[in-house]
Amino acid sequence: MGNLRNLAAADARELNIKDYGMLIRLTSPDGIKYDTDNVTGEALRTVSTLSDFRKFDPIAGEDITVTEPIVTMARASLARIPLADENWLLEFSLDPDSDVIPEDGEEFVLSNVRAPEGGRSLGLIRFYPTKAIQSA
Amino acid sequence: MMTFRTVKTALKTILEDNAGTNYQVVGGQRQSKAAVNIVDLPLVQLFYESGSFPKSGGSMQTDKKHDASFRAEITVAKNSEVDLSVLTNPASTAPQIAAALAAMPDLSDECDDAWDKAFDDVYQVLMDARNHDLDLPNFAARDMWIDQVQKGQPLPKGQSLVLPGSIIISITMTETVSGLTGTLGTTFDITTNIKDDQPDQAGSEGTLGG
Repeated sequence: MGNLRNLAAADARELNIKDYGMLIRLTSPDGIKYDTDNVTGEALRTVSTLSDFRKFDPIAGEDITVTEPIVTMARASLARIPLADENWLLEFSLDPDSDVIPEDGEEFVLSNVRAPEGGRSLGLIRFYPTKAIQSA
Repeated sequence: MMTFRTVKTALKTILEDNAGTNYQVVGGQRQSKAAVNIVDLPLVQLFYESGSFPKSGGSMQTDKKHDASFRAEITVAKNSEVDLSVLTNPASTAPQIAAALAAMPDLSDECDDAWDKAFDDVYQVLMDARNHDLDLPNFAARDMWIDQVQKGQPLPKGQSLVLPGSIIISITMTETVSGLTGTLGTTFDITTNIKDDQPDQAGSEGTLGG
C-alpha cells in the first residue's frame, strides 16, 4: 500500500489534475521549446498557476505589494527539469479564462535569483518566475 | 510650527529639485507600496523618525535645541532584462534563443547596483555643501549629516526583485515654543522715556491691557 505520500501521489496521477491547469510553454537554456506533455504528448499544462502578493519590508516594517506568479508543474510532464542555475523562458497566460498562450502576452523567466523548489514531493515542482522586460 | 516640520519640507524639496530621472520622493510613510510603481524609478520615502531634546540645550523660558533624525527609505525593484525581440520571435533559431537567455544578467546583481546608485544619488544631493543649510534662513538647520546607511535583504519571491534599505539623516535645529493656541495673555505696554525725562520724572510708565 505504501505510505500516505505514495497514496497522495497516486491519487494526483489518477485525477490527472494537470489536465485542469493552464497552457504553458517553456524554453530551455539551449533554446529548445517544450510545449507538449512528456507523458501524454498533449499540450503542456501547469498543475496550477497562482498569483499572490503582499510582502513585508523588514526595514520599514510596511507592506510591499509584489505580484508573485507561482507555477506548479508535474515533474513527469517535463522532458527536462529546470535546474537552479539555469535561465529559462516561461510563457503562459495570466488570464484564467484563456486557453491559449497569447503571442503578445507577458513573458517570465527563471533565473538563478530564485531556484525552483518542490523537490520530489508528490512529483511536483514549483517555479517562482520573474517578469521579463526588453533589455536596452 | 516646530522647526523640524519646516526642515522636513526643505529636505523633501531639496531631494525633489535634484531628483531628475534618478528617483522619486514621497514625504511620509506610505501605508503600502507596490513594486510595479518602483520598477522604473527608485522610491525615496522621507520622514521624521526620532529626536532628542537635551536638557542642557534649552530651558522652559528659552529656545530648545532639537537633535532630529530623519529616515529616508530607499526601495528599488527590478525586472529581468532579456532580449525579448529574440525570445518571442518565431523565426529565431535555437542558438539565437540560447544566446539571448545566456546573456540575461543576474537580477540580484542588477538590483543591488540599482540600490547602490539610488543611495549614491541621495547622498550626493544631501551632502552637497551647497545644500548644507537646506536653503533655510538663519541657520534653521545645522550640522546635517548622514549617520547611517542600512541595506536590507531582497524580498525572496515575486515577479520583481525588491530591495529595501534606508539612511538616517541627523540635523540639529532650534525649537521655539509659541504655545498651542497662539493667543496672547495679559501684556504690558511700557513706554520708557530716558532722554526727555526731567530728573524728577525719570522712570517707566506701565499700563495694564491687552
